[in-house]
Amino acid sequence: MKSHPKSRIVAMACLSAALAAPLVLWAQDASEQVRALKKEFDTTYQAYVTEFRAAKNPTPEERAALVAKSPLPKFAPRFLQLGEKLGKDPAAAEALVLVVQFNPRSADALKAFDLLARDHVNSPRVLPLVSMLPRMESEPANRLLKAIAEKSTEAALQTAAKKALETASKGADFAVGKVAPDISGEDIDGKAFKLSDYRGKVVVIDFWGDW
Amino acid sequence: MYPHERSLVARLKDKPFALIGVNSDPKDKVVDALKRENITWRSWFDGGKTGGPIAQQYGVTSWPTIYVLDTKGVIRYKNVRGEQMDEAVDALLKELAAQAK
Repeated sequence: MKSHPKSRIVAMACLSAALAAPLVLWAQDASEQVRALKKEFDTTYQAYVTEFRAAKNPTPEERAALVAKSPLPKFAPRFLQLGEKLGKDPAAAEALVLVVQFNPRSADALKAFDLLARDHVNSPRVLPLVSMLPRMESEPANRLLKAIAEKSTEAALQTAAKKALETASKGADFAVGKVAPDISGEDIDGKAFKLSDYRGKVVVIDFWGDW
Repeated sequence: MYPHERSLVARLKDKPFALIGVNSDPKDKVVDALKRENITWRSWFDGGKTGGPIAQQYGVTSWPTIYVLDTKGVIRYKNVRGEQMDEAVDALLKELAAQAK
């Protein structure tokens, strides 16, 4: 193999560099795009918070007007669009997680859940979401948890998602429309009583503490 | 929170309605709160800490957590506070009155 040419190795190195370069550029570009939008959002949101705080004792109408000015509904579709465009790029996860954190019940968030479930089950960015999802009692949120529990190769994420799914299934037993399981216990004076003693009455159960 | 619940209980004292607490405080602290806040409604003592047996049974991990049940024990509203709690209870009482007719 006399003809093992250095030039061929060089050529291959050049070729792979040429191939890799756009990928590297794309990755930098992707996180740069998310960072830029995040910066724009942070500035806008800061201004909004300042305005909100400046309004001392607003009337209910003034308060509603302030709430209506929230930049969250305007930014959610933009982050969603960016996350969608960036696809599997890790930077996309950050954008999609923000959409969910803005308002987990928005139509944008419903899409974000499914994109996260499809492309980002291994992203550490998703971890902070996992513990808040079971309280949502929402199908797309549970789909994301299931996807992480089944597909994630990150042990920490997978464990957290499995735990969250258990909590979610428990939560489903206590959803609106379900019969509240009987409670029996003792009152502060040590007298036993049961929730079922109150059938026939409208009952408010208040889990409280004096703090 | 106490003033609102006091007024709700007072307003509906002649109605088929009950507010029941599940309390997560140590006993001396509850007794103190009951006296200080003039709390007239009944509470289960839930082991003196968060994560007591009833909180565990109901999977409650944040406080306050509120359930509003109809007369058949079906959960109809969750985590309604303040005026919303009044509206929820009034709606169920109205429903009951309509059924009685």
